[in-house]
Amino acid sequence: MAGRPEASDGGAARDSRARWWQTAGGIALLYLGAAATWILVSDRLVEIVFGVGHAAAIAQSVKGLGWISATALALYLLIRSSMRAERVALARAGQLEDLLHAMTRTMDDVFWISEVDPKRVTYISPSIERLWGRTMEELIADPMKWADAILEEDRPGVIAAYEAVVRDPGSGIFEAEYRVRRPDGSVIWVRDRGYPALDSTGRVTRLLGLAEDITERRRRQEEVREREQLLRKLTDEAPGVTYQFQMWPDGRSAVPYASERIRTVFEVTPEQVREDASAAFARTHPEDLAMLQLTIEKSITSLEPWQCEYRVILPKAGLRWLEGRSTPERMPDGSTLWHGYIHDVTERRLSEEALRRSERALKESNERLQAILDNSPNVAIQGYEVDGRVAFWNRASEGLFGYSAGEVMGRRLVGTVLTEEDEEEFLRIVRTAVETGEPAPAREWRTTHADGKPRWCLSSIFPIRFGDDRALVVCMDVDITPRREVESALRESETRFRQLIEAVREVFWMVDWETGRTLHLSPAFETTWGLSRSAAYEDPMVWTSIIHPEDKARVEESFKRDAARGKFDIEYRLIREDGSLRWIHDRAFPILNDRGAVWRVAGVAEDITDRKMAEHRQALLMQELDHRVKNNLAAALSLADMTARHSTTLEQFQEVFTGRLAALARMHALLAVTRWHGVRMDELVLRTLEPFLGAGGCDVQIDGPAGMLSSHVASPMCMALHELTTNAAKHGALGSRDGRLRVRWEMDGPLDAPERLRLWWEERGGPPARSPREDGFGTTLIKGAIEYQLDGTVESRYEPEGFSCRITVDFARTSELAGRWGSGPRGSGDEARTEP
Amino acid sequence: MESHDIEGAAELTGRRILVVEDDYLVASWLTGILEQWGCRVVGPASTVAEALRLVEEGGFDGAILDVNLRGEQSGPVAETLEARGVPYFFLTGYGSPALLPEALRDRHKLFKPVKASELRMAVQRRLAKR
Repeated sequence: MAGRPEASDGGAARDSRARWWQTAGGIALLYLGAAATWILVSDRLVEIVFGVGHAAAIAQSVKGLGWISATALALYLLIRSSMRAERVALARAGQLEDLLHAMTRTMDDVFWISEVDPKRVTYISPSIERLWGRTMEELIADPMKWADAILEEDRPGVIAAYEAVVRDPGSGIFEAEYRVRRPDGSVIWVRDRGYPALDSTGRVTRLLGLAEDITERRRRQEEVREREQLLRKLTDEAPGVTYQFQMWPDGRSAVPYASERIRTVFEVTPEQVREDASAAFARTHPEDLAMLQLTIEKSITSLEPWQCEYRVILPKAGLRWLEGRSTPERMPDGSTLWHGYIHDVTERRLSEEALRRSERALKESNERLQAILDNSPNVAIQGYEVDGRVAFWNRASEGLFGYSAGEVMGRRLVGTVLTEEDEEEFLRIVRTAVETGEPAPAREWRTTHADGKPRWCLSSIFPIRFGDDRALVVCMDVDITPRREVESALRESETRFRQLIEAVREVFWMVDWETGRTLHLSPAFETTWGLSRSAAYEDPMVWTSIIHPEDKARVEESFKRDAARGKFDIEYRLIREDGSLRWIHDRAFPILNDRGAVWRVAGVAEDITDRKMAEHRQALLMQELDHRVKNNLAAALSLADMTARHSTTLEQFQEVFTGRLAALARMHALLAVTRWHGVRMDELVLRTLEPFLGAGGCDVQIDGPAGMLSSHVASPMCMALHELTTNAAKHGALGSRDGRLRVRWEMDGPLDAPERLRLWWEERGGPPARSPREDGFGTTLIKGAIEYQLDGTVESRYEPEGFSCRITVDFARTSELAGRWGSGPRGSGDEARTEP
Repeated sequence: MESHDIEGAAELTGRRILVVEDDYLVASWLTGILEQWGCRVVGPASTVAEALRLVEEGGFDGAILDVNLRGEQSGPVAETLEARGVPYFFLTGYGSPALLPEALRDRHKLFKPVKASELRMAVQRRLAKR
């Protein structure tokens, strides 16, 4: 860039208007005027000189004038366009110059131009005054002032550099950084550069330069250097290696910088790896080498930070874990340079497992805590004025009571959440809290939710004072409704249980296993044992005192041994004070405490006397039944045998024996109805005579009370009635169309247990009774049954009107000593017959 | 059937047997069959008291006792017989000996209903020995 020495007067009024002849129009007009004058004048002269015809001369003039006008117009256009282009170029040059001036005036940097021969400064920008503290004029007047300002120690170097450029332009540009002492004594740093301008012969004619104040930059550089030193110191002190690592595409690698720690971390010196990193790589554990290379390659391609944890095997320290991080940058030559840090994490690795474990434990415990917090009921918090008006109402309170803050704010809770009575109590507590400044003891309140259902809450109430005159009471509630509901259900179930065990006949009992103390004994104990409960509470073992002596040892032993194991399950007898015997079935089961130890023993004692009696009766009954069946079989066999002896034909035997057996079967059927208790006399008679009733034959009259015959009386009585009936049918009134039979009996004593029976059997209207009858065995059976078996009497009469008989049995005597039966059951009925 | 007695069996003719049985039919059958075999029947007795009276009177070689006599046990009768060295056996409908007095539980018993041949063998073996 060229400067102008006279530029000091700046861009003067260069744009003054051009004169009219300088314009294109003017030039064309002058040309037109001059050419026209020439034609007109020259034609006149020709005319004057040569005397050409007047008309021809005029025509020549007009033609000439036309051509000249056309050329004048072309000239005008040409000049005008060329002048316009020039004006634009001039304007541009002017602007550029203005800009340059403005810059040199305002910029801190100093532009300068110096001639080489003779040595002088031809231009220097005004900012020199700010930089050097000397004026432009001073320096232009005396070029050496420039060098004088440079500190002495810097000056020779600067001059030498300047001279070198001047002498030999091939050496490049003049460049120097030096210090300048300003007139006020302060020293600044200047960076000065000069670009040589050559003439056609290649000699340097002048230098164009730029000097800038780099004091600030130098200061910064100084700081940076100091910082770098500090950093180096720090990196050398750091436990790991701070390094630069460079890798080229051909696989070469180097560590241009590594802090001192590399000596311990890799056990190599920084020098060893400065040019070639392989010494550091050689330390890598063989198993980790591939992985390490992979991470480096990844960082090269992605230019993302490299991070790796890997093992090295060091000559002295042995196997160590290293962790490294570094940030890559691509270098112009295609290599990659990382700045990073690698440190030994062996200790950390060793403790990492433990750390992970404790972290896991911590996490779990946090999660648990979180879960507890999440599941905890929300705490409802309200603030109240001293008069009970709500001053604060949190969301949980809305949930607990069902009223929004807007609904209750500034109001008292009476009628909504609290009953009148409870609110009064609440206000009393609030006032006390405010007066004493102490929190009120936690208390459970029954509140009413907006939905009308009760809610129980546990409330803590405490006062807060604002300044001297205002106090607020804070109430914190926890919803305990579910707990209260459980409690209430529990109470209810307890009541039900108590009612139950107090109502039932079984004795419920519970003892403290350790102390043996009676904890509970149901009222049934008193009715079953015949002892008072208070006695049992006083003496826990009183229940064993009335156990049957044969059972007592067994029961006490089993109780001690088995009750706590749930194996106490025993039957025993009590002999009560009134002498009655009761059978008890007693069972116990242990109740364990939270540690699984036997805490209490509870049991149920049941009075099973009735069951025992029933069992006993049942056993007796079974034996009796067996006995009877066998006796009956024996009797039936005897009957068969004796019937056979008195039968003349098989048909006769079959008929008679079947009849007798059927009679016994009927009697047993009647016995079964009353469970072998007995048979009603009237039923027995009716059943026996049934085939002959209403058959259109003999008229049968039956008359007698419905007294009960015991089982051992019923059988012989049945047999006797059967034989009487059979005889009557065969030989007497029952077999006769006009016959009449009257059976009448009387019984003394109560009907369910009569003492005496008198029976009259009277046949009339049949054939005359003949004594003895042909079939005497029947009569023998009657006598045997009544007299031998029942100790009764049979009086028979054989009269022409018919057979009659009177039977008397004294039931009281049937089980006592009885008289012998006549001449004994010898088979021949004739001998046994008591004649009238 | 009496013609070929089992070995060791004694001749029954003229033997006097006390029958104690409260069931008329059974007593009657026993009486009949014993007489058929040539025995002389003492009794029958249908009560303990009657039986004891007959034992007191004596005049018989052996006895057949029912256990239950109108609700009374025939134990006392058996004891008296034992005291006098008179052979006897029980004829009972009870399957269980538990209802007998303890001292008599292991005495010889026949169970009702009994076959005539069984009864004859028992009478020969127990009651007809001299």
